[in-house]
Amino acid sequence: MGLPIPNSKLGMWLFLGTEIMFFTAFIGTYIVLRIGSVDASGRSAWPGPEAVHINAAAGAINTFVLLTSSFLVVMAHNAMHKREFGKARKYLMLTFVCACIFLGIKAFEYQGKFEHGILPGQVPETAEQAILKTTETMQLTLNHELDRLAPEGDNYLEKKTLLQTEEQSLQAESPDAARLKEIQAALALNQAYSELNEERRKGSLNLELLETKVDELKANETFGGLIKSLHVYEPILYGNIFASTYFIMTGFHALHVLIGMILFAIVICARLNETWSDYVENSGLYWHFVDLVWIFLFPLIYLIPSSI
Amino acid sequence: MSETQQTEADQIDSDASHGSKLYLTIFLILCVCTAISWLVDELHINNIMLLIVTVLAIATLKAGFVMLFFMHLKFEKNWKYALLLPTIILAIGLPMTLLPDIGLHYYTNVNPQALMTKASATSETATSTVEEETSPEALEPADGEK
Repeated sequence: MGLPIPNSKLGMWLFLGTEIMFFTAFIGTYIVLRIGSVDASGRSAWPGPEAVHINAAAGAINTFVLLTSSFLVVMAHNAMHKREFGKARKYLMLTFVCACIFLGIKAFEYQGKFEHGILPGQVPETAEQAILKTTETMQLTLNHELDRLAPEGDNYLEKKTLLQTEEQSLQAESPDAARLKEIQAALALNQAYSELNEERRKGSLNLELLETKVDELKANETFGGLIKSLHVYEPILYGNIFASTYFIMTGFHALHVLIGMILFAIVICARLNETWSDYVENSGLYWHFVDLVWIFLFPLIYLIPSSI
Repeated sequence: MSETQQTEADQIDSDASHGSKLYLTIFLILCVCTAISWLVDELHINNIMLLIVTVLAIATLKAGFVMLFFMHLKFEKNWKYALLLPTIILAIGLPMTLLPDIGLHYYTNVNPQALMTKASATSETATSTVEEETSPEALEPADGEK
């Protein structure tokens, strides 16, 4: 006796049972934290789609891509049963392509998040944190420039002194040298940064004031070119918990997509015959589960608006 | 030997009931469902609860279709219940048990970020927010309403 299914299929279903719990832990945590993330008035303060760069269209396209791949897998399984192995391989290859498209779109979305600094622990949540992050970014640019001009200096002060001495000697010897201009720009930027940072420490900066100051600094003739990409960060309340839950859910899902691709790559490269039928069915079951997870992630992350 | 023949017969039997036409129909239904839930979102309706219920109901419907037809659960024997019900019940139970304890009382109404700004308030905007958030009026209503 026993179950009327192959052992491998039973194994896959048991594994999927554990997978349900695995993803429920993340999705459940997300739901619970999201509901609990409120402001002082008790309303939801979860960051909106614009603030954290969530694009519902990208999510919808990805849902469509995964649904298509699920359909293709089931057609492949069907073809295996009918012993149409060439057809089955064609369907599996199309599935593989769909998985690539899905990961491509996902990578594009991740890229946007990385560029805007929507990463766990990196998002400024209050005005102070946003101001601090802006000045720190400016400091990074400054240090990079100092490193480039005076790589022999061991630390910031040493580099600064080295450049100041070099500036004086250059002014005496060759006042038209391009390096002199660079050094002067770096020193002027250093001065501007020190002043800005001092104001921040005294607490006389707010976001609007910083905005105008940064615009002024960027328009500066001497060093404006060095800080072209500097901008004032917007505080995003609960942006860090958003980033943590977003990346853990979509990250583990993307990992599952990758593993599914490996499973399909193995069968695509093999000489297909009826012994592969169970393999195709089981990897298909796994793939449908990956699709299932995304079916729930799509409304939960992309569709439900922040203003609950 | 007779058992394997039996299962093979079962498989051929079930094959007849789910062909490529059925899969295509299911696939089209799933696409329509996705389009509907996206459109519902684009409408920007004011009733948020309605929106949440709609998109999650559609998601559950889609999941049901995928499981019943693509994963063949509709055609499987009763072992499917023994295998899947416990984990599904636990999966639904987990968020529900966490919700009242953590979800609804997660740092109450004063978030840690606001308290942090109180300690090292430097900018004008942040100071005013802290005052609003930690004032007795702001703290009271949550308990008062219940």
